[in-house]
Amino acid sequence: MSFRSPDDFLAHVLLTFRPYLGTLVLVGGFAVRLYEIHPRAVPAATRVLRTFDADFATPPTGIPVTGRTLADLAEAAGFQPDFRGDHIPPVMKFVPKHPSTEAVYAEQYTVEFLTSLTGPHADRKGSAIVTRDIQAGIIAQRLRYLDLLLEIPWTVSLAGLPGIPKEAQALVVRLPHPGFFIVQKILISEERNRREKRPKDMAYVYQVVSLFRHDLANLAAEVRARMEANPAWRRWLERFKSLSQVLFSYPEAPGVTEAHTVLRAEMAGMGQDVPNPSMIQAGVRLFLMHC
Amino acid sequence: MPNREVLLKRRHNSSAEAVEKILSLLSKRGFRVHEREVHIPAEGLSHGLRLDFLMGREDRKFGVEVKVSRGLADWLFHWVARPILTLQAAHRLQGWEPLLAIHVGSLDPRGVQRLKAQIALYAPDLWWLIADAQENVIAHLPSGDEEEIRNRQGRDYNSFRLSDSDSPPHSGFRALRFDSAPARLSFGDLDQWFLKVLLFARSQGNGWGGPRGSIKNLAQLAKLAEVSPPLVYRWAAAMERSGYLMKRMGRLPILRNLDALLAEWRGRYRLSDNDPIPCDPAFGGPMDDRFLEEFLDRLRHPSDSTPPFALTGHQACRLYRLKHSEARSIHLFVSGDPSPLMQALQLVPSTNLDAPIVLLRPKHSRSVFGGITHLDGLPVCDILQVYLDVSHLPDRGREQADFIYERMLAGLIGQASEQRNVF
Repeated sequence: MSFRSPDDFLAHVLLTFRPYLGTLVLVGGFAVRLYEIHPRAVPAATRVLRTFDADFATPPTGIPVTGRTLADLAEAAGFQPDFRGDHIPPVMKFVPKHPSTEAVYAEQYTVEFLTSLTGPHADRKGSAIVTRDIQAGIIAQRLRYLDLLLEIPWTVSLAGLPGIPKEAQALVVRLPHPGFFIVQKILISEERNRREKRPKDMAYVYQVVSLFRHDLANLAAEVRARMEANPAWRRWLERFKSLSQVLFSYPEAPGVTEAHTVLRAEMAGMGQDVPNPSMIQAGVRLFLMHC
Repeated sequence: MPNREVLLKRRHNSSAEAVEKILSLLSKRGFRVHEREVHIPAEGLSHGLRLDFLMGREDRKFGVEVKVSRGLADWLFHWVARPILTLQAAHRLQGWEPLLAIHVGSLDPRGVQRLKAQIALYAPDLWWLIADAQENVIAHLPSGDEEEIRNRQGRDYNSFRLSDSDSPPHSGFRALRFDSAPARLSFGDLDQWFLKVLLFARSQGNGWGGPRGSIKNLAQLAKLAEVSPPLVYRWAAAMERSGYLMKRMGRLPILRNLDALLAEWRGRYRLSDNDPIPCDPAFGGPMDDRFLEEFLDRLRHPSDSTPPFALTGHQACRLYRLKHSEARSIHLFVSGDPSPLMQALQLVPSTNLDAPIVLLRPKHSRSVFGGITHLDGLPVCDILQVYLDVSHLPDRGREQADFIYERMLAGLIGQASEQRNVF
């Protein structure tokens, strides 16, 4: 199985799980890719970071079966489960069955399901709580603050995505509210198992802010109103504000530096101007100041 | 590098003492010598370009030519034409600002007046300093304009009158008459403001959003300009002494030499006199039409905390429908703390002095903001201010200024000149 581009892969994945698109929320890098074609977005000067991982947030109550199971659909579409780690149950990702020989190898592409982690990180025996069954044959990785990504999700039609099969253009996909996307990325940055991914997450934060720069005050107001109405989330909002201070309060702050490093590497040799740290800091602050 | 003595001996038409004096005067005004007898290679010229000094002041660099002359007469300007061309070439090649320093035996007010008018006409971008053996100094420098005259007892006078009649017999200078009135137009904030009100208040044309009404006397001008009458009387006296206002026997005074006035104004004014804040868009991107539309749209919807602002430069020309080039730089005057405006416009301060967007905290606030008009829902500086500002922009600013003059300003100036009953 080969894909011409990450967009082609995404279209294939979304067609595969079409019966569940009303329940799943596409998160991670592909969500940022689809924000680009959302009617409320404006073109950004920086290219969205490339990703090969399609991540779906799932409700904490699990996913009721609608016709065929997710596992059946994945199997039929040419994916096979790939188990990783020594957790019980292990972390599961779907990967293409037959790796391509093309330049972008198909085995780089993965599909993963995520669900929210509430309560402690480990059980009474001290074993880390990492995964959870969400449907027969489907194990989702548990992630802190993931519930935020399910709150007032947006939808986007794939019709605006160039170079994908015609049948995929009719699909409508759920995406996290961009404000909650940013809040979740910043909150999760302090999680121990996210340290490696944090630089990329910080770059995503700048890119999302950049895409919705016309609407930042409204997005922040929507997030603030929702989070202040929920006692648990109110604490998260305070935590988010203090973490933001650490990550984006000045051009040499760690979040700014990490985002700059990732963007510089991504845009190297493309003839585009890389946003400097002052621009990244000021841009993200434009959202944070309204939260 | 040759030592100072050698350099001074080698200088044509110079005396060591006079050059020392000039260097000392410039040093007191914050200039520091970086290099002497500067040589700049120039294509096709075996000797390249030679300048007397490269100097620095704050973070700016100046190419400096020093000339020494016994007298100050008409021929002097012809004599300094070559150094002026040299300085202008150095400005183009190296970006050094041109500064001409002249030492003369004695300042002759008429000569000074003529020289200033010639510089304003032919080399308005030139900084200059003229000093004489009696320690009188007249200067047009980044630190401000100076007209300092001392009598032989060493007493300072801040102003003098450029008239050789009625000189007090006790004065050390037959040519200079001291009094408390300003010598000439300083082109300070009030001078510029009065001129604009006088030129535009009676016209019905576009390009002016300031006060309008008839002006039949100085008191009415003061009322329209919202200043106390004595300030206007003082200004009118300076206008007269500068040759831009003429009294006629038994009749009301008239405006004259308006083209020369405009040339002098353009020469005296520098966009860099304002406090510039170069900015980049926080989200980067090219300065294309889409960006400009976005930017102007944000300007149309300021928040309550946004300080007063007004567009000038090329974007103001665009709104006046007087766009002559594809230049896209954005210049915006802002009053007070610029931070809320920068946030509203999603800008970030830039270390790049050639940044595409420049916020300007005006040196002459009343003159800049007093005449703003609204075009397409945006506050825009009056057309004369825009003309003055674009004159100094590197991205085809001079061309644009000439275009404004031809299409709009000449007509307005013409109308003002034809009003024989100025006051």
